[in-house]
Amino acid sequence: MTFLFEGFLEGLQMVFQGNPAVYNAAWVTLKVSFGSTLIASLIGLPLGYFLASSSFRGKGFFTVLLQTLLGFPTVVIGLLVYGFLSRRGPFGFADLLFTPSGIVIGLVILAFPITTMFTMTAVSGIDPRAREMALTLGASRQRTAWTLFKEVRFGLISALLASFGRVASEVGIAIMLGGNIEGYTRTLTTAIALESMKGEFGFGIALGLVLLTLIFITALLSRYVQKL
Amino acid sequence: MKSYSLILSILLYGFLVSSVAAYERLKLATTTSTANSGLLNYLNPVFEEKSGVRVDAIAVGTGKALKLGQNGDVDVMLVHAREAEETFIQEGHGVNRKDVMYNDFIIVGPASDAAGINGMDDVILALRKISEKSSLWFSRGDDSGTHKKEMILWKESAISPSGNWYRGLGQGMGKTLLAADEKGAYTLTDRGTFIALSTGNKIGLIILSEGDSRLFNPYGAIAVNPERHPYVKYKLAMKYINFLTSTEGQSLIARFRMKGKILFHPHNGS
Amino acid sequence: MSRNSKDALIELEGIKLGFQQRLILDVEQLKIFQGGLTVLTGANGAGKTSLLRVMAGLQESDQGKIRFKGDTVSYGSQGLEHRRKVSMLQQEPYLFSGSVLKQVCYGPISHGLNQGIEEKARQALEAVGCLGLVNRHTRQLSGGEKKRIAYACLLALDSELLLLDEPTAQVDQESSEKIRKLIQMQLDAGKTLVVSTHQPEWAKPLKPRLCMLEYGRIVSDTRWN
Repeated sequence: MTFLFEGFLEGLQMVFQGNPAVYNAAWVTLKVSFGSTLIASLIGLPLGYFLASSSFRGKGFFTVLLQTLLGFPTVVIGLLVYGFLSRRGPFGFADLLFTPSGIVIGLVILAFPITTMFTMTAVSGIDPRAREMALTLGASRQRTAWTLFKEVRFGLISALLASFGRVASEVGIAIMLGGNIEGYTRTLTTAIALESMKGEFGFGIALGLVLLTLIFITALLSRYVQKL
Repeated sequence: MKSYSLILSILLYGFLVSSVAAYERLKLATTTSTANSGLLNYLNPVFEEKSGVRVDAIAVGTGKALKLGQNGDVDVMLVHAREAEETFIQEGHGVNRKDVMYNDFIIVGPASDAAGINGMDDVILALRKISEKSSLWFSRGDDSGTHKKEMILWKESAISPSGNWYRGLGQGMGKTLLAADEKGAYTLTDRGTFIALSTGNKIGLIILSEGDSRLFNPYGAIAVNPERHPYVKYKLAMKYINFLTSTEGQSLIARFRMKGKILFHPHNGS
Repeated sequence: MSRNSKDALIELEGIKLGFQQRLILDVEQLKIFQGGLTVLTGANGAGKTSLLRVMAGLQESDQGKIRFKGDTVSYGSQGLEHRRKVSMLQQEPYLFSGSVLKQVCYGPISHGLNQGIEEKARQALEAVGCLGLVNRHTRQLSGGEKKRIAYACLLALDSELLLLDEPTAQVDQESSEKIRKLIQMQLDAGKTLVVSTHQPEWAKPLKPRLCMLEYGRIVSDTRWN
């Protein structure tokens, strides 16, 4: 028990003393998480809206495809993207491997099924009269879509928060595509993986505390939004 | 609708700005033990200051580091596996190999030392004793430089280690030492990782055999062959290698201390 | 009824609409002329709402054509033009989350108007007797108030053709009166209205044209004098 307790104390100390390694990792986590959540939303919101409001022949198929992507093992995502971004792969010239942008690409693939699904569910739940009200009052299709988005804005915000929480906790993709480079692609999660390998338990705890705080704030926001 | 386009424009702007403001970056593949020693955090900032180039050190096992170079995913490698390095050059994946520095491996184990090898200078004899006594031995088992060295030593002692007492963990050096500490096993380790863990009483293992020249662990820097991979940053890689082997680089290596102890010896001894 | 097609404001021809093996609408021909009141009546499920929705451009028929002032009406994204000439009041109106004022301004803004929107909205709210609710959140309205606000949305638009789906359903005698007065006002201003109701008695004083629907077909078409 003392081992755990000491580690915990050491961790707390590092957090409050503003240990630079900890906060560098936090900064990288925030950057890649925000970036990937944003892009995943730009993809997921329109896609989810489209899937929810149109009926076309392949719709059932695409829904199943989405479900599959949702459950996709992250290491497979990491592996596939690695293959694409590697210098021997088709996008090697872009020099994206072992950069934060490379991580973001992997995280977007992880996150966009989440944002799409959440949006699809939210939009499907909209009263069909809402769409007709907008249309009959003379709104264009885009304006109608925007209006419906505003009607379910809280569902959409939950989508963003769920996505953010998920990508911030991701390890495999971040290590495989980022290379865990100190100050550049070392996130809170990859740093914890590294520190536990080195036997630096207290440091790992510090990182974990910061990450938990991030996730906790995300969960709080989500709850707050739902209650509105 | 207007706010949507506004958000998009801000994003695009931010993206453009961030990519323009980027430094030149050099990707270095190295081993976990090298990275964990802290040497690179000591050396690289000096290079970065001088050249304006950021060095991104990716720490993986030796096998993986060479693979990254083979694939052209990094620009330069700093590893310590002589044989593998030679093959690498011969196969044309890398060029301009230079000796940079050396440190050594040691055999560590529990203070109880059931095999009784404490103080033995001859590492081969020590290994034979451990095998005879079937004392618990943990191996890296992960194709790393340390693991390769270990296998060479077993070969020299004409032993093919197998049986319940010999366990391959497939883990990094840190984890292997922690496990050996938990279970009271012997293991081969680089001095750096051991110093890092044993100071501050994180583990109770002690050094039992050291100093044999066969435990010598030389480090080489290799640039990835630009003819194989036209996108690698060959010029920057050479700049870095030249820095490592320059008088300045070599004296920095000599001055580096880990927890107050000497860890690396520059190739061009000062 | 011997005016030619060019005089009809909206004309339906050969409209058929089915749903799961059942024919909901089967209207051979229906011409609505400018400046009058047409009342669609019939039992629940006779197709009144569907007919209105087809006229409003909210529902595409499986077969048939619609002409507005002689021009054929198209659906999909091009239906926008038609939807800006015809507005429909839903039986149970859906109001967007926000203030009543914003809701009534929604139509005019969608139509691309730049000026005088708020004024139009306030005038419309006054006409329906709801000016006091202008800053209320739509969540906090009663059923009757929602109906009146929705009506105000239509008033603010000034559409040529107004379609009202059961405007007096679940509404008390007094409000029924008010609605009839509003309809009269709009007829006096030259608007064309089509109103559906399963109990047409309240509309009698307006002397409307009465179309009876049964199983999606128009079975009688008379003038109530």
